[in-house]
Amino acid sequence: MIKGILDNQWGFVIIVLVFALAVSALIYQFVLSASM
Amino acid sequence: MFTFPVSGAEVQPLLLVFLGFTAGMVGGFIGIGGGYMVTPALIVFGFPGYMASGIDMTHISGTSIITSVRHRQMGNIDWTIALSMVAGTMFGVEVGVRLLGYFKQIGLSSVAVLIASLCIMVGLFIYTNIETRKSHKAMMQAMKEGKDLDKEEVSTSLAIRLQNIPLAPIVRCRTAGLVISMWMIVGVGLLTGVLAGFLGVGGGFIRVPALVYLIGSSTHVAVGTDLVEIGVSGAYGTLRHSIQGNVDFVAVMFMICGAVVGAQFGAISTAYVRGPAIRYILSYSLMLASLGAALPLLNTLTGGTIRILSVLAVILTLGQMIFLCMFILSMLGFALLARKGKWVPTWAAPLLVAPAGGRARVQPATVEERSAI
Repeated sequence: MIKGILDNQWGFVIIVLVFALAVSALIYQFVLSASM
Repeated sequence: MFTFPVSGAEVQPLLLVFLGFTAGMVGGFIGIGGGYMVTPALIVFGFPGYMASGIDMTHISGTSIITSVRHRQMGNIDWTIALSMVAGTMFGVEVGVRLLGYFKQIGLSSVAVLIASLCIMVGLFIYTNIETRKSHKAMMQAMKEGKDLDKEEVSTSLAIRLQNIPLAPIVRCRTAGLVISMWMIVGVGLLTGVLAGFLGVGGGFIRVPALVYLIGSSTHVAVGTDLVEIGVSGAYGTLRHSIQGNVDFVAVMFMICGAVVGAQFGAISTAYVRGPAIRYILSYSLMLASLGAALPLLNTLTGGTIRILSVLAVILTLGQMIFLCMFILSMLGFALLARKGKWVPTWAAPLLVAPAGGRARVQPATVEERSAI
């Protein structure tokens, strides 16, 4: 199934984007919001 | 937390190292300084706006030296284009800044500049993405037919038309493998400089597509050559900011620590992919930068009453850098897997350099004929 999703370019882009935004949200929540 | 001596900001130093690493990797791969990503991030981290610009500019000039050296070793810099373009860009930036001053004088608001900036970025994203998709399709088709793929594939012929304009002096750009009127290069530098000066950005994301689509260089050479330009303009900007006391050198040192590694990764990764892969990532960075510009614009237009917009802008600022880095690392990973003969996504296969190495693009067949001019 994972190979199936990765085989679609937009599927790959969306997965990477969601993951990146999730990491970014975690940085915001635990690192930045404490200092803002 | 660490209190930075010049700016007085209290920031986690590891965040700056991380920021430098991501900016270096993206910059080294797609040939941009990354000011439109780094400056907002520094402001989010707690640096004052004027200080963020100064730190960003100093960091960019350092990173561009590292990436330029690496790209030079990889044969990706065309000095003829770089030096001709620097002249046009410098003059263009000055014209752009004066134009902006004039428009402000006659009552143009900063919202209008933001809208213009957004339109240019969206336009560039659409054009780059559509053109790259066409090239990608052509490469996939050639791969299916069992043909050898070139390291570069561009589906537009605009550059060939510009190369055919017989306006002396005609220069031969050996690394890029093309013959073109020097005025075309200066003109493109001037145009991109005016846009960069008007919008208040470095302009890497405008120059790289311009070098590929208007001048006709390969994407790899466009990236390396643009980084030289960024180095020159970055050095000038650093000097100006330093004189005005806008640079916190301790913060810059932390960022450079990350950038040294990231820039090497980014520059070396270009050797593993074909031109359209770089242009894809450039187009995605334009898409995210457009979104990143649209959110503060919406925030301004709504008078800052919708708090979620500013939170989203912060998340997107960091998220786009992480996304671009992950995409670059994924392409590098796919290239290494392909070299070992393992599975890679069907769409990624034509974008990766084959184990034997891609052939350099053969520039228009008229090169020999026109070199005699």
